[in-house]
This record gives sequence, structure tokens and C-alpha cells, in this order.
Amino acid sequence: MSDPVTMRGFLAILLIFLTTQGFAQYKYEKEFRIHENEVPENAILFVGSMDFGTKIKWYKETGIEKISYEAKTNYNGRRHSIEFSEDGSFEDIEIEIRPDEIPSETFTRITEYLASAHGRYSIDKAQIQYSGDPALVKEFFRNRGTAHAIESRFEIVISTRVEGNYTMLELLFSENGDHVRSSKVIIRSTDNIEY
Amino acid sequence: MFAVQRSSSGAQTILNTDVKRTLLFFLLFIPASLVSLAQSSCQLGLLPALNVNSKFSNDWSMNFKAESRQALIRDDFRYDYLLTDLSLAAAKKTGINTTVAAGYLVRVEGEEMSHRAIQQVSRVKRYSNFRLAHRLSADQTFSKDDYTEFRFRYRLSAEIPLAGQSLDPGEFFLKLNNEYLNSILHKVYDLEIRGGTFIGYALSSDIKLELGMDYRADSFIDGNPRHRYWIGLNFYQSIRN
Repeated sequence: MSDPVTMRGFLAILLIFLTTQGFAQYKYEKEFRIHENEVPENAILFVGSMDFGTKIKWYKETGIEKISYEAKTNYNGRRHSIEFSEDGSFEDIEIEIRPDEIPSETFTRITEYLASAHGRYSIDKAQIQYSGDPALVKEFFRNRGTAHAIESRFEIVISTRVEGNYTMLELLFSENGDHVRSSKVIIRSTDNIEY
Repeated sequence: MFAVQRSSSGAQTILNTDVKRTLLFFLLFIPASLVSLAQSSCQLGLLPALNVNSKFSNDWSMNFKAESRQALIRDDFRYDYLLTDLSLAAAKKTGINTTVAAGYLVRVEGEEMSHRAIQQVSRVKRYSNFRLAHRLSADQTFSKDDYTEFRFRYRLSAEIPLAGQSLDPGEFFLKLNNEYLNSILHKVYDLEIRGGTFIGYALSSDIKLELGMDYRADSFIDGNPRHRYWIGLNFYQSIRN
């Protein structure tokens, strides 16, 4: 190197970078695609009885406390996701919707909550979530019946600032728009496609 | 630990199939690219890079990059160390997906040194199966014995996980990029086109390793085209303070 002073300066900066590294532990969570033959049979039977007629992709999610299976498909132009527990028991079905498809009174309550809790925000994604008795959920989908017998909730993903940093939050609201819970979405590093 | 768990499951089969397919494409791409190396305007070399990104509060971050160029083939097979680039950039997120950065690069080439001011804005779009980044960048290169070079560039990069919808630790991914660099040096305009294919591995949520081929073509507007092929080995470390 022709300029040892410059080189030393850069090495010093690199050293500062490396030594200020935090050692925070992050939640161990993984999602990966699997073959249908690795999915519990009752989950396959449940999805089969939904008569989607579309390609089903299966995923397994492993966390510290929970293992779950998820079937994803695009049906009637909408992303459907059906979640099952480790033993293949039905948990819920989520369908991606546009925010303006949420009933107006419910949507008003949701936006009032978001404005009061987070100030400025933007909605990135909205889903309607159905859960309850698996047979009733199945019946609801087959016959397009009323949703009174099953529980429906709304999952909203927003971008907002939390403690000065841009963050994505996933919020769950009841059918009436009451806030149920919020959780932070882990945003993976994108340095390798930005620099 | 997880790789061991997965190796016992069929998930490994899907991963292997995807990785094999990608490697096949990748291995076919390299020899095909080397066919034209017989021409004198072609060059093959190594381009190892270290990239450290340190994140601070209020959406500020610093990016340090060290990259070295080493030629393997020019007229004939001969190893030749060419240069080293060292850069440092400060970045600020202006939205959940948008980052604005400004930095400085020093290029050490034998006894010569050149300096470059860099400004860039990047926007990352997250799709359900992959992530796409648009990068608009401008830079100005100054050196003692040459005119100032002004460049304006656009790059599109995609990161595609090969096992599942999101990239998790212990998983492979494919990275593709395409860049267009417009340069003006002493009133002479040139366009350089770059294309890259990399196979990557996420060692953890903060460390990624990539190996691939970067192709660069320039001087084709007015003159003899120059084709350069770089075997890239990239190491990315993200630090959360």
C-alpha cells in the first residue's frame, strides 16, 4: 500500500466496527419448504377437503417453543395460508385482503387504534383470519355460508417508527376491530443487495 | 445444529434439488462465459470483498467495504495483483424500505491512489418469495494525474431463498444483479453493463457468504469492447449495536 497512514486509518475503523459488535441473542426461528409426505396426514386431509384445485406448497416453521405446518396456495387470486400444529391439528386459515375490504366500522376502529398507538404508519398487508371448529371452518368455505359460527379476526402489518427506528409490526384485531396483540416483525438484513 | 436436524428430513431433498439446479446453471454459466476469453480484450480475475455494516440508533448505519482485484488471465494465464478499494459510507433509513447513503472510497493501485465520493439511494421491495433492491448511485473519482470521472449508475439485485420463502440461518440463496454505469471522463461518455450470479449461504442472521461470477462489459459504444469476468467471494457481516 502506498499510503500506510490511510491504510492504518481504515484498519482502525474496521477494528472499531468489529469490537463494538453486540452479542444480543435472537429468537431461533426457521421456515422452510417441505414435501407433502412430511406433513401430518390429518393436515393433508383437511387441505384436500377444501377443494382448492390449486397447487399447494407446504412449509414447516420451527421456533423455540413451537413447531407448525403451513399450507400456502393462491386461490381465486388471493393468497391463502392454512396453519396446523405439530400434530396436524387445524389452527387457522388466513386470506390476504385489501384494507378497504375490511368492514368500514371495523376498519375505523382499527385505524383509530393505529393512529393513537403509533401516530404515523402505513399499512403493508392485511389478512382475514378464520379459526374455530375445523368442521365449521371447512363448511364455511365449501358452502360460502355465514361466518357467525366461526371466529374471524384481522391481521394487519404496518410500517411505523418505534423509538426512532423504522419497524414493521404485526397486529391482530378482533372481528369488531378491538386490538388483541402486537408483535414486531423481524426484518432480515439486506446489506448484500444494497451495497 | 439445525443442518443436522434437517439432513434427516425430506426438507434436505428439496434444498438439494434447488441447490443442484442453481449450481448447474451457475456452472454452465462460467464455462460459457470463458469461451470468449481468447480475445485480447477479455480478462478473468478474482474479486474478494469484505463488507461490514454496523447499525446504530435512529436508523443510522455505517458500511465499511474492502475489495481487492487480482487478475488471473489477461493475455495469458498470469496472476497479477491489481488494486484494493477501501470505502466507508454513512447511511440513514428514510423509510422502512429506503436508505440514503454517502461515502468515500480510496483506491490503492500500485503507487497510485485515487479518491471517490459516493452518493446513493436504495429501495428494497420484499415479495413473498424473494427480495428486490433498486440502487441509484452517483460517484466522482479524483486522482492526481487524471481528469475527474463522473459516474451515474443503477443496479437491480434480487435475493432468492432456496429453501422456503424467507432466508433463515443455515440456508442457501441465489443472488442475481444487473447494473448500468454511465460515465463521463473528460467529456467522453461510456457505458458499462454488469451482470452477476452468486450462490450464497446465510451462516447466521447477520453473516452471509457469497461465491459467484461478475461479468462486466464496457467500451463497446466507441471502441473495442472490453469483457471482464470476476470470480467474486463476498463476506457480509451485519452488526446491531
